[in-house]
Amino acid sequence: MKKFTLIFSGIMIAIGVGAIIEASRYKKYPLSQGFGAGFFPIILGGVIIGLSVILIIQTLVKKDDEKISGLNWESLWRPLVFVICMAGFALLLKPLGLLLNSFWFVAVTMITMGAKWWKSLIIAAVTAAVIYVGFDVLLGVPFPEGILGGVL
Amino acid sequence: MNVFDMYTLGLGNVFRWEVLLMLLLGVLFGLIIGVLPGLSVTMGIAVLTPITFSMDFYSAMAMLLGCYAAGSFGGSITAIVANIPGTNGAIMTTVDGYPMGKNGLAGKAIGIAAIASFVGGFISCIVLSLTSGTIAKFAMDFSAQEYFAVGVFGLSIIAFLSQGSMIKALISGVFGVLLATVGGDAITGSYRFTFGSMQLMDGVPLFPVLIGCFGVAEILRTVSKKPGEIQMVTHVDKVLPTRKEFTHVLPTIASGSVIGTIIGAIPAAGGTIAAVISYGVNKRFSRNPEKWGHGEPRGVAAPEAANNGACGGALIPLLTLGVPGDAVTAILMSSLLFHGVTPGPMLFTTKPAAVSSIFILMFLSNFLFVAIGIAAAKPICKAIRTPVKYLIPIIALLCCVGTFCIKNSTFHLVFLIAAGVVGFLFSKGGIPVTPMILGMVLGNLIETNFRKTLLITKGRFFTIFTRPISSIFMILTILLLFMPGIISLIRKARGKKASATTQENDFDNEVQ
Repeated sequence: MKKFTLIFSGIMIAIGVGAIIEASRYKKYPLSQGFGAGFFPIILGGVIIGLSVILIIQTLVKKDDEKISGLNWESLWRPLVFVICMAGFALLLKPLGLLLNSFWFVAVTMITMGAKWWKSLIIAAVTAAVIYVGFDVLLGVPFPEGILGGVL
Repeated sequence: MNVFDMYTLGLGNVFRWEVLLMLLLGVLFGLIIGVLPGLSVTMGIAVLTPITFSMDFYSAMAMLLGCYAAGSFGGSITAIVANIPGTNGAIMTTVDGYPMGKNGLAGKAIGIAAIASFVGGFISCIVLSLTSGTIAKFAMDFSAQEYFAVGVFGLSIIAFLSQGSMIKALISGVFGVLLATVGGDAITGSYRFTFGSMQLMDGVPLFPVLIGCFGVAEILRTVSKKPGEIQMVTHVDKVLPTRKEFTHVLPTIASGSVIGTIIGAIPAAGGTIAAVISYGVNKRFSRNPEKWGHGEPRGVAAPEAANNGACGGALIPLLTLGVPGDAVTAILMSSLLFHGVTPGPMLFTTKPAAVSSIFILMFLSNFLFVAIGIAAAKPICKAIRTPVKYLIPIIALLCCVGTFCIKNSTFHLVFLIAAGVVGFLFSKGGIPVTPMILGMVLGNLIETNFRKTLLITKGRFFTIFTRPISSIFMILTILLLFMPGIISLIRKARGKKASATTQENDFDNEVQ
């Protein structure tokens, strides 16, 4: 946990410094405009840096260290597959369209979860059809048509 | 407009078939989400929200409020039959609910939980509808100083009440406020932190981040765990309690409802804290506290009345001040804003129909979930056995499709995934994500009123302490932020004093 907290604090300090540098480029103190666009982000950047420094000191002073549970390959591979599938869903939505994209997404993630492949394919097909009818046909959301555009 | 006209207007808007259908669907969805272990009400509402965008305001609110009220009750069923709280608010229900189930009284426990949840929700709705108008009138006199103070107080109390490190919660909250500064500045109109991106000119999109932090992050957490076998009570018989049983639990339900409503109205306190306090208080004042923990029906009634009582209570600061108290009300606030309804004191004069409709929908949600909960207790119990491996991929797909629907943009999906990963990692590192979301929601209110205050007072910020309401909130904020430090100093001082006394006594003994 200590390592994680220190990395988190480091990232937050970097964000705080970045915010101050970027916000310093905006007009800060024209009183007539109520303390410019950069004024508040600079304060926030400063507060984040200050709090992160306190967190670092607290973490270093603390003697005991809790172990973060579930940060190993066995418990992280499934979340990783889900994230990759979601990224794939975003990338392939335009070329494949809603129906096909929903089908492969549900099928792959369900098999990842340990479901039998044939059950996954059936549920994926039904889910994709329901999602397509619900969102595209009934709610009228203009989803990309993809390669099935001419057929549907 | 008088109260009667206000409610007549609300009734006309709510009693339409499409609104009632959405309410029914919301209640059913909420019950299922509440019943399924690992899926929270917050996640359910986050997933439902984009689906409601294509609906009118009343249908959307019907679906979301139905899910909110029913989900809070649904968690108790899993607590009773499987010893797993379906939602966080049902943690205390497991203590007496599961022993009741093991004693063959699962049906009775579900019935008592349903009635207690109904009464809790109903009383909180009455309090909500009776007090919010008065609070809103009082808040009408708020100026920039008061709004800034209320916003900062809201964030601080959330950080104070968050589990784990308060510093981590504060960093999360301030980071959320920083995210809210991305995009156009409300006062000068100049763009900030957009880095040349057209999409960021509107700011960091709130809904993808909400769905990511509460939906995707929860999915990632669930799939990272090994699915375990659920040990369940299978025998669910008579659900409705007898008159004698009902009279036995009635005082507990009444006190739980009042506790829940009061605790719910405090920002960040929420249903879980309400349930814990209600259980503790009722057990403390019980004539036979030794029975509690071994299947005492009052041990089911107390937390259930409180966690549903908190639902109506949580809407009071949201509707009257425009300050959400927790993750669910933050999502509800975003939905209200999406439909052009700005919560706050002016809402009661500008959109009375919207306010009365929300009150009526909350009342109706309570009637619906208690009816469905009692009538369909047995099939609902079966839903607990539905393996998550079939549900999670469908919910993940709904998160993606729903996020795309917001602006028909794949750019929003990037935020969804990023927020999901951040939410997942935050939870692993013990960093609460709710302060960040509330920071994003409250950021604009805090910044605009902070800068307005500086403008009005010509840079003399400390005049905020000269106005009574803003000074009270600021003093409370300072107390909250420094209280943990002061408490630990007092404890250390006491510890030193105690050890010094012990040493003196030891020395005296040795001398003697």
